[in-house]
Amino acid sequence: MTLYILRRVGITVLMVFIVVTLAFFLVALMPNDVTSAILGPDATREARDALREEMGLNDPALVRYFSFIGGLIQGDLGTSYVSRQPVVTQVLDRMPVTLTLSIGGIILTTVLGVVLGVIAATRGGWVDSAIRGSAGVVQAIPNFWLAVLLVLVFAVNLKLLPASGWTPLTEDPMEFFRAATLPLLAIGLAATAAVVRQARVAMLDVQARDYMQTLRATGLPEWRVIWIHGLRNASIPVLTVIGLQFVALFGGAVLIEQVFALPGVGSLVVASVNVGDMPMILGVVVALSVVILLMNLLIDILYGVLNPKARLA
Amino acid sequence: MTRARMTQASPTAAPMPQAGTTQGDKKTRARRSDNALARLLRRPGAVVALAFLVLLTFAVIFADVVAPINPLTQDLARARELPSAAHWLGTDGFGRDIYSRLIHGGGATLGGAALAAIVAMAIGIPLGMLGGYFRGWVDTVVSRFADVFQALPTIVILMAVIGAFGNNNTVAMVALGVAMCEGFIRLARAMTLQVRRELYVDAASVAGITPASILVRHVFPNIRGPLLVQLSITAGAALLIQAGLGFLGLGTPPPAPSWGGMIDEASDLIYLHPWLLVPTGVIMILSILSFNVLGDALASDRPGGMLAGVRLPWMKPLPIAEQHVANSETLPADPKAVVSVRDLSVSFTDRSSTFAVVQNVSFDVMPGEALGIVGESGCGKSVTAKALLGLIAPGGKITGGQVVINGADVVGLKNRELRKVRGTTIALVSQEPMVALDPTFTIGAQLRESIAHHTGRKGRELNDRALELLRLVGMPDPAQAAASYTFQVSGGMAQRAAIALALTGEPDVLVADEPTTALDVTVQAEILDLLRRLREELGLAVIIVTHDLGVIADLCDRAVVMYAGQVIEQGSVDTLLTTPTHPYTRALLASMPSNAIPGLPLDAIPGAVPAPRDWPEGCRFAPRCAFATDACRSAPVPIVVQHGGLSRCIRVDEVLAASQVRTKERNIA
Repeated sequence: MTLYILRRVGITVLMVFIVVTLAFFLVALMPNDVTSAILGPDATREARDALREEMGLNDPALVRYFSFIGGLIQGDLGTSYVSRQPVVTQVLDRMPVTLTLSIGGIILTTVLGVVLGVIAATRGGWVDSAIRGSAGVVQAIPNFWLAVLLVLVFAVNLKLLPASGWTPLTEDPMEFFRAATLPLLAIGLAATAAVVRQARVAMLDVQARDYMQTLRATGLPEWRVIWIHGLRNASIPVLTVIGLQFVALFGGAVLIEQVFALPGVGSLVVASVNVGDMPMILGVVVALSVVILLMNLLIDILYGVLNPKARLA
Repeated sequence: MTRARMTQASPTAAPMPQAGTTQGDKKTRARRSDNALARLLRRPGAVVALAFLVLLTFAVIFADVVAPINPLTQDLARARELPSAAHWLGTDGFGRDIYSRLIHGGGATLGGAALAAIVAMAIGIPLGMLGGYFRGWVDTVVSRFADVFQALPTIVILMAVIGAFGNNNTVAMVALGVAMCEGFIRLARAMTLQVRRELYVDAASVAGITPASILVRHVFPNIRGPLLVQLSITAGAALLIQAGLGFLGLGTPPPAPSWGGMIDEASDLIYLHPWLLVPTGVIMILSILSFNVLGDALASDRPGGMLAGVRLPWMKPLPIAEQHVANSETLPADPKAVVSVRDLSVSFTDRSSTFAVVQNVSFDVMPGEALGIVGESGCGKSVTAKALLGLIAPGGKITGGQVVINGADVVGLKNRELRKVRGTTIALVSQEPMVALDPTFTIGAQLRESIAHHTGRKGRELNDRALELLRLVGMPDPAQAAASYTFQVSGGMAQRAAIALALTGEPDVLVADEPTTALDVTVQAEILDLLRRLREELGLAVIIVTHDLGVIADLCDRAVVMYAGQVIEQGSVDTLLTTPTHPYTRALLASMPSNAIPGLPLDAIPGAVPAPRDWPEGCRFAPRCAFATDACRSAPVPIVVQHGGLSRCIRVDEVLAASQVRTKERNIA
């Protein structure tokens, strides 16, 4: 197991490095002139050149790349063109909201998705048809449209929950849940549908396996057969989909934060794209990929725990 | 990443190409794709989805004709109107026609999604084929490339691209295609690896054909089906992302209409004009749903994709297949029997009808006795054996008869009550030892779980009992076996572990379903020895299901011969093996290599066991029987007591006479 985890950690570090490199060169080779974004379109040529020199933009891309990597290792992601503040502090400031949305969303997705998927697979009949049918429709609903609809129904019409705003969980749990319910639903439902479908197929596959029959033949209670043995085996392919959905939830957070006006990384990156603040965009891409790759590492380890074949092979 | 590569069966990832489709000349390939299209058109959902997408595409291409109102013309006097004759879907906050904006805005969204899907395919397929063909470091690079894009939220990559290259829908969609090529890479890679394993690729290389032409000629024809699925799924996902960008005001900047942008406008007017949310939402959901339905329909061959066919109360019941059966006299159950089966029938229901697979099976098992159930594959012997424990595969049920275990009928009992019998009175050992135990738990853990359930033992005692059972079944190192997973031990060891698990509840009867079929010959003998020893030491009754009369001769006291869902002969093994009264038993015996007459060809039984719905009206064995007459074929044959056993044959005397002749021939030879 230790060797397995070490190998996974190695792959994660390698992936972070590759992603950061790709992101850097995407940004470094951009054709847009950043100086006009900072100084405005009326700035003089001299002022632009001076700014370029000051920001080190005249250095060869490789030199800038190594200084960026050097900074990254020390936890420095550069300085925002717009606010002139370190990128790291702003990203870290905004991270908790986005993390809460995506982690909360993945918990909702996993629990709801697995339970409904297993019920669909084991009950069969009209229960299966109903769950499978609604999962198919829900999966086709764009999350930002769903978010606006939820606001319309629960905030505008029923006035049950706030239409926007955010309270951290640590400050006031009650208010947090009021503020987070709609965003979490909007972000998690489509992902839930994807997990339902995968969990259903995986459980159907497991149900047909000989060992399920063996376990039933030994007289074990049905709930143990399905929710312990069945689920453990079915969760192996489901975990992969949960990992993919976690990535999708981060993408969804960008949109959902816009709808609910939440102070997360998503609204930061939207604002940065609109003004061409490249260090900030780069910083967000790096930060998000690190979080996602760490989550993937966690899932890989969980995968090894659940699946002895992967761990021992 | 092994995990990522095992996702092929997931609905969102590329479906695994079907095995066995790679060989095939041009003719069969053409027929296959015709079938795929025909299959698609038989699904109403797929037809509707396809029709919707085609109509929408035409509407978007000929937007000026279909929606002549200029989507940018403002009319503030008529802002925020509900649908009317002038504005079919109403107007937005500036009085612009919503219908017209939807149709004109569809170009950027649908066209963008199509562009992204095609770019993804154009990049992904060659990369995947390269990785799969050259393997080694090329494959590693390609796979890592795919992993990178899988690890990043696509919309954030696109925002970085837009930040770098400016706000341009075409550039963004090409970038989206690059970011989504991962699914195509995995698909093409898996397909290429599979084709590469086939011999003919080696043959082609030897013949001097270049790798490129091999790949093009052999991979492309096989990849077509899964490719369409992936294309459909990718297009749906790309549509969603394009609209998301529009929602953020990127991609197609306002005031130009775009679906995502229209949802953004709707969200701004949510207090004033909530109707705005409806048309855009509906058209987007229907489009994405259509792509997904189409993808699902194309992929319906994959496991779990098949519809089980739901029957609702108001639907007409399915027809019941006609399967003629003779009324046989039922012998009274022996009161001393530990298991008494009387007139047991099992039926299955599929899409078209309900049909029996086991009909009116009766037999008794005495305490400590070994009973064999023998017959070819498809005779219903396994179904019968599992039905004794109330285990019936999905779609099937026991439709009649009794299974009396220790004096109580278990047919019709709820699972909760059946569980009290399972494991404690009657236990099962199944056919494939390597897959009979849960691969994610150690052998010891599964034994302990079952022992705890049956005996309530805890802790140390539990472990001691598990090791004791493993020792009983002849595990050379019980402690090591307990710590192992089934995939770490040999087939023979796995079968011993499965037998140990069956013994955890200290049952009176052990049902062994083809316990030696999957094992090597030497191991087979060991497992049979073990079963014999358990019978002697524990006084277990054993019901052994087999197609091998040798196993019956080796282990059993009595045997039940089954053919096409019925018992056709029953008696003590001694008489059954020396003077069979039914031509089927006789034919089975003659087809055993050990009974072959030297110098003469082995007597194989001509033909095959008919499928349940094709069971003949008369004697079910008649079409394959050397003794069959018109009388055999005209009416179902009852099973009656004759010559010391039970036999379902009207020509027993002829069969016995022929056997005597054959014995003489054999003695002469």
